Amino acid sequence: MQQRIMVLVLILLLGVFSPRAIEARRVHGFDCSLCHQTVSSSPVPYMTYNLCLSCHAPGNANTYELTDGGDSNPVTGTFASGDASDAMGSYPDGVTPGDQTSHFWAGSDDIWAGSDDIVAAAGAGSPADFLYNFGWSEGKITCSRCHDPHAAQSNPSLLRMGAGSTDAMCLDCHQDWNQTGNHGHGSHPLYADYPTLAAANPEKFRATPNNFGSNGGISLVDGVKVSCSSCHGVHFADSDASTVDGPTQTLSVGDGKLLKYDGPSRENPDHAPAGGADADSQDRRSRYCEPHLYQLSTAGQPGRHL
Amino acid sequence: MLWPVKERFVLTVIALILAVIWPSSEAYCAVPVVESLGQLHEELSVPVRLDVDEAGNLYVADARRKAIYRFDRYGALAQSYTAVTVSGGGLAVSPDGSRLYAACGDAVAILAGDSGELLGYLGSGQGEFASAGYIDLDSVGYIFVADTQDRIVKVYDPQGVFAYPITNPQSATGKFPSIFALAVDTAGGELYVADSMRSSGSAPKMEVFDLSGQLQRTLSADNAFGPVLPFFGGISFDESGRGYFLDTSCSEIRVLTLPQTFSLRHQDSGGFGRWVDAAYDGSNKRLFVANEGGWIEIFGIDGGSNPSPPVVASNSPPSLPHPLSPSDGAEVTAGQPELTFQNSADADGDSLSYQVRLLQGTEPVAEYEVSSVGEETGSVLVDGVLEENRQYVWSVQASDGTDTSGWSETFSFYVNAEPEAPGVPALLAPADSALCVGQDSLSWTAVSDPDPADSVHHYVVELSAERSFAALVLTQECTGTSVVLADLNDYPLLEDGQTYYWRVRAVDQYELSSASSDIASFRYDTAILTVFADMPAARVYLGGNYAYSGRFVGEAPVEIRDLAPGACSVVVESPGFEPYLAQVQLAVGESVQVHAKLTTALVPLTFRAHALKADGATILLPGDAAPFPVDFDNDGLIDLLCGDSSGVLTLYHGVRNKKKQIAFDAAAVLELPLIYGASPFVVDWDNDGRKDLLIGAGDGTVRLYLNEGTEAVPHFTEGSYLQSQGGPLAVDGAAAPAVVDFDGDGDKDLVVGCGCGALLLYDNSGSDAAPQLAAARVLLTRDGPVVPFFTDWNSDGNKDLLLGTTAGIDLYHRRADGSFTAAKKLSTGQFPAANQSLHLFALDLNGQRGKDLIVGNSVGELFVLSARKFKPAASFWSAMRKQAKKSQLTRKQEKRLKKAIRKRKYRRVLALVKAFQRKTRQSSSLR
Repeated sequence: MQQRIMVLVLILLLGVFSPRAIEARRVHGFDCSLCHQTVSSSPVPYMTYNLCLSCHAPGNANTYELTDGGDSNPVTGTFASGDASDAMGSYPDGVTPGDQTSHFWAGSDDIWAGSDDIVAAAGAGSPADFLYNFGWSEGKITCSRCHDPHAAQSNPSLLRMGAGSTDAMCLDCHQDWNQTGNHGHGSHPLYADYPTLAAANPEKFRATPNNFGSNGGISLVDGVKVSCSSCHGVHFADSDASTVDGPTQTLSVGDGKLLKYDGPSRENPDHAPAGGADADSQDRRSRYCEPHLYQLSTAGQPGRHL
Repeated sequence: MLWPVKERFVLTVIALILAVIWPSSEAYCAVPVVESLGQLHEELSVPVRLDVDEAGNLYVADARRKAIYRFDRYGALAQSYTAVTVSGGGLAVSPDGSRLYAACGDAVAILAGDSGELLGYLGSGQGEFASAGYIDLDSVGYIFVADTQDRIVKVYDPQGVFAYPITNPQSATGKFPSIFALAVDTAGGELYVADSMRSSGSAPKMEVFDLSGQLQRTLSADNAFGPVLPFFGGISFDESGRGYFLDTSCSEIRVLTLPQTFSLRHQDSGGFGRWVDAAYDGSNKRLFVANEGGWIEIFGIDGGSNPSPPVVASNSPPSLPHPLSPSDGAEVTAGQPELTFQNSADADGDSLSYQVRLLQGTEPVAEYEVSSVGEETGSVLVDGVLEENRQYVWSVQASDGTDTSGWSETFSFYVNAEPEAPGVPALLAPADSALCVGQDSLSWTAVSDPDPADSVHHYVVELSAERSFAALVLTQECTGTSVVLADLNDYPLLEDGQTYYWRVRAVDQYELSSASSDIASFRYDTAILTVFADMPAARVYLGGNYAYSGRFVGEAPVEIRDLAPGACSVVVESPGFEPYLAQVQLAVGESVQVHAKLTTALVPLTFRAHALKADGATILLPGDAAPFPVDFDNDGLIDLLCGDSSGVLTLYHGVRNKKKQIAFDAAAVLELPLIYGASPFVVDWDNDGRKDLLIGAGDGTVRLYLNEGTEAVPHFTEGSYLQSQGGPLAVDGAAAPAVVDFDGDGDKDLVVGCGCGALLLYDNSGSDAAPQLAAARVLLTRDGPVVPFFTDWNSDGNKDLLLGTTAGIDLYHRRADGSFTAAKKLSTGQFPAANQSLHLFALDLNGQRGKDLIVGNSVGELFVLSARKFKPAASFWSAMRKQAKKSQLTRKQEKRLKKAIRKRKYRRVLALVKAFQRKTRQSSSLR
């Protein structure tokens, strides 16, 4: 018994005197009071009165003094109010969307009815992961719902579920699509192992998705998976193959569908197959379909898999 | 002079009191009245930086479009600057608008305000800044640029050469904690640098420097601008000594009466987008605020307003004049026409002049100035003689001295001062002296009329038997350039074997005729069939048989020209006589005559039946024997076509036996599909001179097999279903068709006996050559299948109905008015057996005792019912009486004939008739 008590005391002492982990340097290494201040006592539309956008504003490439006296990195990702997607009709009445190159970031029951974090049309429900669901942003769609402003520089995108968690974060909210191998929510299926699928069905799929060489082609998540971010970006995606997507790039006016390549509604002469294609076939056939061996429609006949 | 101490004290107190109660100079700057004047949206996506020149032009840097836009003082988009890719970090414009300074990442570009071309860069150009941000100018043209990454201010002289930096005096590095905005108060000669960084060592504030960079004062964001101002945005100043400071986080304007008295907090109404920059327009007292949501807010300050564009005095142009005469497309008969137009109206009441232009095609001919016009119309006389037969176009426009109406619509006219006849046609065919039949065409070239508005109205074809055309055989007007000989109105006047000469002339609508063409000749030599009958007014048909007379061609004697070579059947009918049927063979260019010897119509009274044999053996078909005697090969002998329940169509060729009577040879099967319950009817359905085949079927349909062979050697098509009202004709039960001109309108109608007992009429709503069958009409209904056959049983000139039923053969006489008498059962003795459906056919098989009946029954047997007793038909006597009245017999012969008729002395009458007929034949002539 005495021996057991000694072991227990030893363990407790080790816990108390063990070296502390060195706290990682934060991306936003500012004084707390820079952001944690009262701006307005009443609820305001987050798309407009957005603390993050005070710095992440178009035209702004500023640096700021950190608490340790150093300089922050220059602001690169900037957002205007109209960058938020209106693909789900989330905007307030009478407001014309802008470039719509980013995920909507101002969903809250308090401000605009029906624009909270549950959007059935987007297959989106409240996320399951606890990392999403604490603090002020719970139940809302805001920057800080997905981004942790206090994250370390090892997680430069400040993702709530950690660096490289983009796809997992998509699926945690957009749960209806989180179904492997079938057309979840009536859309394109996700698939866990595309190379194996393609090898088993060479008449239908290319062995390697055709990335067209540039400007945001299809990418397999983790090298094998067909998932959300194979085709979509979360920010700085304009559904236009003619532009390079990204925070420092010059983007086109998007359609809010946040596709890396051309969306179905974007007319692009590059999509015209040899011999010409009618508008109908162009409309139905985004070049995202290139992984499929696909026969274009001919006069009066719909296209089909070969 | 020194004041005593007491007075000095009093003066001091007064001065202090005055100092306290007398308002400072700041207090004279009233709180601005801010009023929304609207928004600018055009072309903007994300406007982030603004500046205004002295004239009130607004310059906007758009961070998404990477361009600068200039809006004039009235708010209209006036210019786009795209020579460089701007970042939107900063923008400034010289007061006169001649130069723009635009942040482009690590450089500040200098652009020409008028042309937009790139003039150069500040300092060393690219790389001059870590990141160029806010830019502003002082009153002498020095340029102040915030480097927002190095967080210092760089100052450049008006030539763009770096002059000196302005740094943070409170920092060892000289860096500001942040630079959220920068602006120069040109009136006060001070530089404002906004720092929103909040930390333990720093609080958000506005640092105010003199233009050399000496810090003058610090305005705390926590209390100098009213409530806390968390994040600075753009800054601007008005001419009244007030500064406008934006709070980007809440889209607010904080106004300070300079140097540091807070006077107003103006908030956005709570809309979309953030306010990020401001620029004051002193010329119109307006404050522009950039909303990065995509537009510019415009605020009037202390009554400032948007200027209205100057109103330019306008002149209303005259309305369009309208050409009147010559009207469009008209023909003028003068070489110098007068051009008349409808005057224009002018809203300003200006006096108008007119310009008239005359062209030939697109080539100008003349142009006239008309200054004096009437009240309603003006005109001008063409001063030169225009070319004959040419088309001209003209139009007119009005002018009020300042503006013109534009040219009116264009009218055209032709000049035709001298009417001319059409050109002379040239003959094309037939070749001179060619041999022609009726189907050959005369053709000639089309000609035109030299008068532009005239045209050839018709051609006149003239034929003469003499080259001199001393006497014309015929003349005919034709609208086309050819005519078929047979279509000439007086075609019958052409004589077979005669040489004719022909010529053509063209006539215009005014009856001006061209000269006649050259003359050509042809020899007319065609096949002519002439049919005579020994009774006057006998009706002649072609392509018929005993069941259907065929195509009516006239009353005997009749001449039919241009028949196709080959076999042709001729049917002659006359009341009181049996039908006469003959076969003729026509050859090219040969004429044939048929003399129809009509025999007295005899009415059978009783019948004697015997089985029909072929090749010496009694015919027995599988069932439902349906006989149709017809001269199938046009050899002059009746053949027997039979349908039956098996679907086979069997043909028994007619031969003459030793007694020179009709007999039938061995069976031959027609090459046709099996049609179960076939009931044939032979008729030239499309009047092409070849026998076709209708076949009623057991399924109620009637099928048509058109003959693609010849009349004598038929070859049938694959067949089709007869249509009625858009669908196949189909009756209940087996169909037995019979063709008859039921309504006497000259075309063939169809009557179908049905297995269900109905007798249906399908009236022909088309033509005789292309029948279109209307909806069925029920003529009668009986119990059990009925099979019709139409024949003039009593030879009165009307087709009577024989109806085969399961109860025997019924006879319905047809009256002259088209109605039928009640049914009368034919007395056929023990035949046929009861309860058998019957197909029947009536004809005078042996030419001796009137009509015989050929009957098929459901067992498949075929019988001939020959007349055992007979008598002359009443119609015969009637015909004789009629002829006796107008006969050419001698008075004695006529008297004897009438007496014999009265006493029904048939043999005597017959002898007299033969004499009469001989005389008729001798005297008949063609009509």
